[in-house]
Amino acid sequence: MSNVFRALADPTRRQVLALLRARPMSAGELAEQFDVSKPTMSAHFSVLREAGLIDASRNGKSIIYSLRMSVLEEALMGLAQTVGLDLGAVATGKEESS
Amino acid sequence: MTRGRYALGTAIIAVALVEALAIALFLLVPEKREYWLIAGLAMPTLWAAAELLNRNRESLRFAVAYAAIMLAVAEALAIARATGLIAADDESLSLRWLGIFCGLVIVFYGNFIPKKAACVDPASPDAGRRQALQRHSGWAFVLAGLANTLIWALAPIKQAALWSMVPLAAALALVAMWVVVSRSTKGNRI
Repeated sequence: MSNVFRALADPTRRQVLALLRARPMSAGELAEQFDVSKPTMSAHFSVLREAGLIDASRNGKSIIYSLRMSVLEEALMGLAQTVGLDLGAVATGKEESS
Repeated sequence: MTRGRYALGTAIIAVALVEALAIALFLLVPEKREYWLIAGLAMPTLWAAAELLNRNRESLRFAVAYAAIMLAVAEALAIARATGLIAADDESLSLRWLGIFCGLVIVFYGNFIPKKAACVDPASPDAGRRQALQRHSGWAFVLAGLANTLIWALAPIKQAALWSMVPLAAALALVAMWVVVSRSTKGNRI
């Protein structure tokens, strides 16, 4: 669960998830929406994949990402966005206590 | 642990629980021994038959676990009545707890509907619609399950059974409507 908190703590990753709500998108399409380098975007994608929030499948040369969020995870993301809940601190706290 | 092993482990634990509680009831409530005998024998027999007939064993085992947990809750409530933890004539309390449990199971299953991998190519034009349908269905069932749980917890017991069906029927109607709308949209079949 701390993987999910860590993934949802970052605003860029939350924005990626918000974009994927509309439809599955390729890595290139997603990267175009952000002003960050490709390696940084790849790192964000891998954090989201590790947390099980997105799925990746290869289509020719491109990788298509699709959303795999449970209702609870989506509600958590909504909460983090609206009230500015610091999920990163929750994740770190969990790791420290375990 | 793989999902298949998790399903098998959950089913075994749930069925073992049913058997243990059925044996306890067999000893505690001798006047209804035939019920507990049937409860104790039915679960493993039906599971074995289903294993032979069904190829999708992972889903089957989760369904068996769900059915066994439902039965175990009913048995636990019967034990609570037999041992005096719940007033022996208070069947309504058992019914209420069973209703609450069913509501929570609906919430649990609804929560994971959007997480299930859709049987569609993510690159296909239908993928967005299918994903939206899964998300909306998940939310509909989670909210209906929560409403169902609250009704069983708070409503007068005589009305709870009927009222608790309303949010579930609404969720089913909404999902059916979304499917029909998606199908009727030109060039987009679900």
